[in-house]
Parts: sequence; structure tokens; C-alpha cells
Amino acid sequence: MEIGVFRFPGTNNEHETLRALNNFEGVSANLIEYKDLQRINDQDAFVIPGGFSFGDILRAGAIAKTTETVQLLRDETLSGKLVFGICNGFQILTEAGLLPGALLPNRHTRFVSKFINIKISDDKLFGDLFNQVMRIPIAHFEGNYWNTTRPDGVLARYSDIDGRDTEDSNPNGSLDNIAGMVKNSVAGMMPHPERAFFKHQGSTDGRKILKVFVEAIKC
Amino acid sequence: MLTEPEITKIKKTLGRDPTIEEFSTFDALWSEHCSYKSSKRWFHLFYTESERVALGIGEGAGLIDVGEDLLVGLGLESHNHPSAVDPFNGASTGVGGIIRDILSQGCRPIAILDNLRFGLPFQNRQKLLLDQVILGISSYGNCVGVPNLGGDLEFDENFEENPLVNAMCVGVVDKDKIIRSVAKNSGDILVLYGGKTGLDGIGGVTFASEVFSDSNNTLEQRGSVQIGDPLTEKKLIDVTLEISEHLSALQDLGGGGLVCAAVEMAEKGGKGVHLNLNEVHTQIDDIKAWQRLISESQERMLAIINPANLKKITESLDKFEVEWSVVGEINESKLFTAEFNGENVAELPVDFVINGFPEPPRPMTEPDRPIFNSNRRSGGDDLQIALSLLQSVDLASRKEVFIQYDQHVQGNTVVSPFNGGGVLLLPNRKYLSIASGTNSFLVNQSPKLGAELASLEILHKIVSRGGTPIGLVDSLNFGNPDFPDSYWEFVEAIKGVANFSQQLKIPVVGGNVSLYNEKQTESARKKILPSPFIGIIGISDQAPTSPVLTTVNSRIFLIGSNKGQLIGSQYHKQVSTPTNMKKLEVYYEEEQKLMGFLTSFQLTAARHIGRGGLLVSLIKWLIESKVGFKANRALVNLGVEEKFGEFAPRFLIQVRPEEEVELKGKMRDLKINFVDLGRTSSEEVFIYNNNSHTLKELEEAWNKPMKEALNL
Amino acid sequence: MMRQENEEKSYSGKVKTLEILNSETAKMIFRDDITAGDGAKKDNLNGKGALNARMTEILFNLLTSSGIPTHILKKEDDITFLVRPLKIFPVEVVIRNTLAGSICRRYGIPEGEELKKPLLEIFVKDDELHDPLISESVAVSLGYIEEFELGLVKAYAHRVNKVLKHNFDKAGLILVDFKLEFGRDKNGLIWLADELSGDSMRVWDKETRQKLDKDVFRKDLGDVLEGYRTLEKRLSEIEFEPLREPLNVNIIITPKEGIPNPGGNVVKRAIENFGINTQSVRLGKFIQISFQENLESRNWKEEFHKVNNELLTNPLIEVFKIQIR
Repeated sequence: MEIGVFRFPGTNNEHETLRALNNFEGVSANLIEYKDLQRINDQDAFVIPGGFSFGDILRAGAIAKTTETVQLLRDETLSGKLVFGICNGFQILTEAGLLPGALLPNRHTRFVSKFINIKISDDKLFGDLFNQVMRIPIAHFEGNYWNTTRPDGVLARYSDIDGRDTEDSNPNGSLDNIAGMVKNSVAGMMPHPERAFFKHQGSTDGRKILKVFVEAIKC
Repeated sequence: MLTEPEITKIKKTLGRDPTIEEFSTFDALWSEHCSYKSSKRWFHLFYTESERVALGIGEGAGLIDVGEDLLVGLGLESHNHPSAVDPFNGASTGVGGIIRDILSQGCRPIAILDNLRFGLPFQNRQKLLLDQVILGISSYGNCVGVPNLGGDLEFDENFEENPLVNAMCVGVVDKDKIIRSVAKNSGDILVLYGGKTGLDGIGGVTFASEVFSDSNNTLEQRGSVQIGDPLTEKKLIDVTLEISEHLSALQDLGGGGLVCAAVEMAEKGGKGVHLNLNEVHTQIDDIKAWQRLISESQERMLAIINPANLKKITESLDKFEVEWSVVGEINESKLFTAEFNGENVAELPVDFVINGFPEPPRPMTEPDRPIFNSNRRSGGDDLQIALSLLQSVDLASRKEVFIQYDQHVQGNTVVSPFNGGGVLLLPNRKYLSIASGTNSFLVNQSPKLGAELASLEILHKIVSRGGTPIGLVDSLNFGNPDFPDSYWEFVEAIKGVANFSQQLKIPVVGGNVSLYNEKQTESARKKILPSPFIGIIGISDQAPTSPVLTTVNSRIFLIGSNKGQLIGSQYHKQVSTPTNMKKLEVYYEEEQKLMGFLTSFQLTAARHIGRGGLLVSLIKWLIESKVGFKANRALVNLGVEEKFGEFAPRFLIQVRPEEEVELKGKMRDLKINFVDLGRTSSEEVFIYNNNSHTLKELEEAWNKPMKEALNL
Repeated sequence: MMRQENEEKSYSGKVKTLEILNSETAKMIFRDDITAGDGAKKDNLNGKGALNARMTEILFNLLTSSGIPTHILKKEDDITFLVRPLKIFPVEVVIRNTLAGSICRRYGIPEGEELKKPLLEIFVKDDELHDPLISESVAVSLGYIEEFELGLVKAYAHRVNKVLKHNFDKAGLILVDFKLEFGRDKNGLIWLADELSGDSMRVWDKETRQKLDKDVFRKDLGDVLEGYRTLEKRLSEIEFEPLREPLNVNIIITPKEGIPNPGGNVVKRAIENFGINTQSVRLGKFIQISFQENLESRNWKEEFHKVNNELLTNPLIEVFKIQIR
């Protein structure tokens, strides 16, 4: 199974994302430079890793979404191929309109990097993990999810250790504690599953999330 | 600015007046920042040799062998003056600069630490400085994708006019991919790549070596500040690591700009260098020759390459969208020459430019200094004192600062920097512990012993993770060396760091000096507290000792000496001047014994005893761990020196019931003293002598001062 | 003054005739007529049409090379140009550098003093009403011109003034004031229309301050064509310097009403630390885009709406405003 991991100028989570995905049996995760368009069609699924694509100038993801890469990716999703955006990847997917909503600067307009808990709300693509609470790191400046209405297709919500989506457990001011969204074959979340994958990282809950994603590709 | 004796020497040696380009060259290279003219004479005091040292003092980063053909590179540098003028950009470019320093040696950057000093964060200007510096570090480091693994932060009114921003960077490189900053072959060409050369940061070095005075309005000095561009830096890292094997030599452009990098590399190889300044890629056309030489525009590297490799290298540069230009070549002349618009604008002997400065005499005298008198007496029993210390801005939790830095990018972070140092998993599966800082208040009480004890405090953070120290770098921040008292402080502190390195055989592999950190007003000198920052790295084969308590129903032991020292402690600063003013002491033998125990015996959790002493450190540990505790009488009955003394060979360790007997036996064998302080519990409460506080309440109190300082 | 309507095949104005050839081309023919006082005073001067056509040709060439999009496609003969058919705005733009004409009458001030900075005025084109002055907001509210178009027209007019004033000065002439007309083509693009000659501007000799424009005719000061010839000769003798200044487009992005603006909240708190109480603070972005000197006429509005909606702003959370300078 071939998974394309995109690198835009300023992407900086590509190595740990590749390392995590390649840890699954039968997965070959490939680094794809954003201009390397001819390789896109050969992939079975895609991950847009975290970082600061194009320096997060204008808004996080705003410039990446205008690249031909993302235009092509849009076509690929129409054919049902899965796309998973992590952090900056999630921001790019919302900017591109592939996922609903927008990611505003955090409540305190400060970067926030720490371990938090999320509870999986999606009962379809990530249904195997439905209602499970996971400990996983976040690291972002613009992760404050916003939308005009309470959206459908919430992938995960920030929660306390018991899975309650309390005000205290919301690290950035997101509407309804939303940490990630899923729509058709496109999913995205602010937390970093690839940073809670190996034992040395202090939690391996992220492995479960990526495992579900990888298994969904096989279907 | 060049001094009279320096100008005289230049004219005499050349037998003529220098051109403006030559004058600028000397001005940059003979600054303290580039020449170390006031400090080099003391470097011989450091312990510098060990079988692990692959590259010592003298280039962008020191390199230390950690086995399996892997080297760790480290550097620590100040960026104080730019940060005073433009805190956001000054701090950002400080991070950018130290990253490029270790990149010049071929290292992939894997960690950043930062050491900050400000005035008390109660008024708007100091709050703004603090906030902007943190934002600058965070926006740059996060964007470049290097995790922040620690550092320290101290407040004192003496830093009001001269805040300190020092940054440390750690990187890794395979043994066969090291790059040096030595011009080896005549006929090699110089490729300048990265950001465009502009007018930003012209004269930054001279600026950093000058004293701020009232007439130098900080706003007018903005031209000297560089603007950071982390996106370009990220591309610079990616492309440099891709082309590294095709480079003959490499140096980043930092203080002193193009001329500094070119001439320093030529001198190390005993060669000459010629620059064609028209070739430099610039932001605007109208940049004069001397400005092209010394501009400190950021994100630039100067590579020396065999012309046959040009095509391969420039293909990579183009692929990463990094601009480049071929600006000169290496020759046998041993001269530095430069041309602009067809005219020769400089011709100077390389050796003279690097080593020819007349050593300034630098007299020193020990100043008459009254003992610091605490004027903030706070009363109450020991617990009340401990709680008031916990809520002081000096000891308050730095969590709100650290969470603004990405600690987990790259996916190798094992221990976040929340309490002291961090730990990374290296590519060779070993664990690298890192910590940096100093104790400015302490060093001010006694510069030499203070520097030793402050360095030991950093070492304790490494050792409590189980790391064996293998190298250190320093960054020495002091007042104006023209004043004998400032220079005395500086030399004493160097002697302190040197003795620390000699006694414990930890090699010094790099350093930086930042002098002139004082502001002169008509009535008085306002100089910073002496701040000899050091950064230490440690290594271990096993996963680190946990920084937080991992079990309940376990015991917490104090191990090592019962007492600490009160001079220079937070108790001294905030509560009461010690009545017994005996001299500070350093106990290297006891330190080594404890170090051996902590690094060889696999403990489950340990903590250094830092600022505020035993009681404060214990409470912090409980909050960090979210583990409750009931204190024994043995703890309650300890005296002031035991509870509030600092700077001693002593640690807190977790002892699980199943290992208690074995551990006690081991410690008795090693003649390590221990005291059972109490028992941990799942109920999140701290119980001490009939008082009880919930951890939540304690945590809120501990977090409050920094939240207020940051307007959160 | 002249109205161009696509529906009509031919229209005769006071001094020029326009013939629509097809949807892409029209003919603008200069006649020898001269009028003043909204048509009250008339005459016919032999060779005047050719002279003004020649002036228009050389000045429009200069403007084209300075990045002003003009309606002229090609000069066909001494008095005829092929031009783009346009819907001309019912307002005209006057730029004044030195006091003269209606502004002196309006405010009762003597002519001749140089203004502190160039003054741009807009007039309704209506002879019956004697071309009244109109404010920008009235012109927009009445639907004579869209706000965005007005911004662009003003930017172009100032640009025309800069380049003309500089080159007239080189030729020993004072450019006192002049009138411009603009129109919109079928694609919504905006072009400079009409003519530029002694009929549409006031020009004085720099040394003698002698009038070389239609005021000679208006005020019966002598041979108006003599002045026109001097003008033409002086301007033909110098080497024109086109304007090399970029055109600046400013884009102001603000968060939409009602959406959270964390940055604004933080700044609000910080401002309040200075003891200033605020109701709310909204933090947005300001983007300045500069264009090279050679501007094609472009559909600024459509292009900028596209680039704003697809790149510069996120329409879900932000709104933008464009200013052209």
C-alpha cells in the first residue's frame, strides 16, 4: 500500500510522519515534494503532515491550498481515496474547502504545545475508536475551530481524562471543543498522532488513530 | 567602534590609511564578538580534552562523540542587544543564528534551549519585552521545526535596561558527514546562499560591543537589528544537509557578515581569499561595498567548494528555491582582497585581520560589595514561607512560557522541559539529556563560587535524568569590561566555570561572550547581574529516570547532604539575610559520589533540588506529578538550612516499597546519607504538619505570577 | 464633451464625431469646431481639428508608456483615431495644480497661485446644468460610477497628472489644470477616453505665464491656434520621460462581524493596560501590492475579488476592502 506524504516549503513534520506510517506492516509511505505532481496518481492514500507550509503567511494553509498539488488532491478524493491532514494538514484541508469550517488563532493568540486528551466522536471512518479517550500532543498557533453552525462530521473533541468535553479541557477556544473533522474520504485533526506513536514519546494512542486510517485504506 | 590604539596599529602595519571597506573589516573582526580580545586569554583554563571531543572551541559548534559514529554538536550564543532594541526580531534571529552555527558543522538541529533575563515583569515595558521575546523564539523555532528542550528565566531589576536573550542549539551529524570551517584548497570557490543581503543589521557587531547610553535612543538603532525569516531558514537546513558531502568548508554568516566568514575560514586554512562584491545577491541594487562586507542579513551561509561540484550544489539550491551567488575564491596569497565595480577595495593580510589586534590591557579590581540585604522579609512558619516563595515571580511555574514552544516536533522528545532539562532519543537509540542556565543572583554574590554552584545546579538536572555529562558550552554575559569591577566579575566567573569543568572532567567545547551589558546614565552605571550561562549535555543508554513521580504509596527520600547553603538562595533574596555569613563552598567529591549513584543505579523517579530549596522543590514535584503526599515528622523537624538552603549535593528520589530495602542498602554501602521525607498518595493533597492543601490550589498559586506577567 | 453609446451608430459632439464601426472599434474624428461656455460661444478654426488630434496623439502615447490604459487603438489620418467603444461615465475628473477657472469663481479667489497639493474634483457632465461639481459619495450613491471604479479612476487621474506635469515642466510649461474622461468597456475594464489638448487643459508659459489654451478663445485674448501651435511645438521638442512609479493597491482585511477575533481581544487587553477603555478591538491585515509601470487595463475588480476570495482572505471569516493609490 502506497501512502503519499506531502512536503510543502515549511512542512516540518514529514520525517516523524513517514517513520510512524512505515512502522505498519505492508505500508510504504513516500515523501512527495509538492511540485512532484506525477507521483500523486500512484498513491493509494495521502497524508498532509504538520508544519508551517509557506511560513503560514496570510493564514495557516492559505497558500498551500492554491497549489496545483491541492487541486489534484481534490480530484483524487472524488475518486474516494483517503486523505488525512494533521495540524497544518488539517488547516490546509479546511482552507481548501475539503473539510468544513476554519481554524482561527488560538484564544490567547499564543502557540500551544502540550499533551491533551481527545475523545473520538466519529462512528464511521474512525468508528473502531468511537468514544475512546486518547492522550496525544498538540502544537499549533491556529487551532481554534470555528464554523457558522455546529457542524456534522466531528472526528474528535478535546476532553478531560474521562472524556467530558469541558471548558477547561479546551486548549484553544475551539467551537464545541472540536479537535478534528471528517467528511467523506477526507479527515483532519489538530493533534499529532505521529507524536504519540512510539513508547519513548510518552503515549502510543496516536498509533491507534493512524492504524484505523491505514486499515480503512485497505477496504 | 575601533579604539585609538587599534586604529594606530592598523595604520602603522599597513603603512597607509585603510579604505572604508578595510576599516569596516577591522571594525567587524576586531569587535569582542568576533575576536574575543578580552576573553581569549583565559580560555586555557578550561578543561577541553576528552576522548569524546571531536571538535573543540573555535568553530560554529563543538562536536562530541556519542558512539555508533554519531556526533552531537552544540552551541550557545547571546543575542542581547538586538533583543533590547527589537525584542521580537532580536529573539527570533538569535534562535536562527545559533541553529546556523551548528548547521555549519553539518549537524541537523534537534533541540533549542533559551536563557532569558528581564526586569521584574510588573510594568508594561518589561511585560512587553518578555512577551515579545517569547513570541520571537516561539514563532521562529516552531516554524523551523526544532523542539524546545529547556532553558531558564530569571527576573531582576538590574536587567531592566539590558535584558538577556541567549539561545542554545543541539544537533546531530554522522561522523563522515562533518563539515569544517577551514579553507583547504586554493582554487576552491565561495558560494553564498540563502537570504538576500540587505541593509538590515549593518554594524550589528559593533553595536553589540557598545554600551547603551541615554543618548543612544533604542528606537534609532533599529537599523542594526536583523529581521528573521524562518521559512528560508528551514529551506537552508534542508538544502545544507542535502549538499553537505559536496562542500569543502562551510560557515554561517553571523556577526560580522560575509567578510567575517570568508576571512575566518581562510585564516584557519592558512590561505588567502578574494571576494567580488558585485556578485553578492542583494535585496536592493544600491548597497555599497562596505555594507556588502558586513551586512548581517539573516539566513545566509558561505560555502567553499571545488568548482567541479558547483553544478550539483546549485541544482539542489534551485530545487529548494534557495538563492545563491558565487562571490569569490580561495588562493595562496594569504591576503584578503575584495573588488567592487572593477576596483580593488581591500587588500589586507589575513593573519593580521584575525590575530593582529592589540590586546586591550583590561585591569581588574574586586569591587567593594556589601552583602545583599533582603528587604522583603515575609514571616510565618516554614510552610507559609515555602508557599510564598512558590508564588513569587522568581520561582513561579514557567509552564505558560514553555507551552508556547513546540516541544515534540521531530518526534524524539522523551522528556519535556517542564522541570529543568529535556531528554531526546538519538538516532543511535541512546538518550541525550540537555539543560542550560545559570543563577545570576547567586553569581552576583560571589562570581567564582557562584558560577561553579550555578553550573552544578544545571548538572543536577542532567544527572537526575540519569545522564552522564559529556560536554558543555558557555555564554558569558557581563557588564562593560572597560570598568575594572565588571572585568573582575567576568574573569572570576570564567575561573569558576573552568574549575567546574576541570573538577568534573566535563569538556568545554564552545562559548560566546557578551560584554557591555550595561547602561550608562548621567548619574550611575546600571549593569546586569553577571550571567555565565552554561549548557550541558548528558548521555545514557537507558531510558531516562522519570522527572515526575510515577507511583503512589511510595516514599520520597532526600539523598546527599542534609543542609544547603543560604547565601545567594531564594530564602536570602526574598525572606531574610542569613545570620551566619560563612563563605560559599563547593563539594566536588560528594557531588561525584551522588552523580555516580544517580547515573548507574536505575531509579524510577528523581528530582534536583533547585531554587527555593528542599521544601519548595518537593511541593513543585508533587504538583508536576499530580501525586499527593504526607510529610513525615523528619521533614517537618528539619531546620532552615535544610529546608531552604540551596547549592548542595542533594536530590529527591522516589523509593517504591519493593525496592526500599535494596536502595537503602546500596546507599549505606556508598555512604550516601538519606532521609525519608514521607509517603505519596493517590489523593491529590499535600499534608504537612496538620496543614493540608489540594494540589489544584497549589498549582493555581504556582502558575499565577507568570499568567499575570503574560496577561493571560 | 461627447457621449458614446454602443446602440447608436454615430454621434456628433461639440468638437468631435464618433462613429461605431463594430463592437471592437469606433472612429473618433476631430473637427475644426471650437466652443466655450457650455456651447454658448462657437467658432470654426481651420486646422484646429488636426492640431488637437496631433496633441492627443503625442500625449496619449506618453500616457500609454506610463502605464495608463487609453481607448486609442491607432491613428488613422490627421484627424481620425480608431478607438475602443466605451460607455463613458457621466462624470468627468478635473485635476488642478494651479488656481484658475471655476474654482476661482466658486470661492472668490484670484487665479495664479499654485495649490499645496494637486486637487481632484469631479463634475457631472451636463451642459444644461452647467457641469456642476459633485461629491464622490453623491456620484457613487446616484450610481454614476461604482466606488471601486472611482478609486481606480482617481488613481489613474493622479498618475496622468504626475507624468504630464513633469514633462510639461521640462518643456517650459505650467500645467494649470486639465479634464479627463473615463469609460467602461463591455468587459467592465476601465480606460482613459476622449482627448488631451488645449481644449481640455489650461497651460501657461513658465517664463511669461502667457496662456496657451482655450482660455485665449474663451476670453478673446488673441489667436487661440497660435497658442495651440506653441504647445504642440514645445512638447514635440523635448524627449518625454514616462512615469516609472508603481501603482499601489492596498487590501485591508478585517475579521467578519460576529466571528471571534482572538488577536483583537489580546490587543484590547493590552490597550487597556494603558488606561484606555475600549469597546472592542478587531485585528486584521493590511497588504500593499505594487504594480510595475506598464499596466494593461485589467479587470481589477474581478481579478482582485478572485484573488481575495481564493487566497488573501477566507470568506468564511474575513472581509476585504480594496484601495487603489
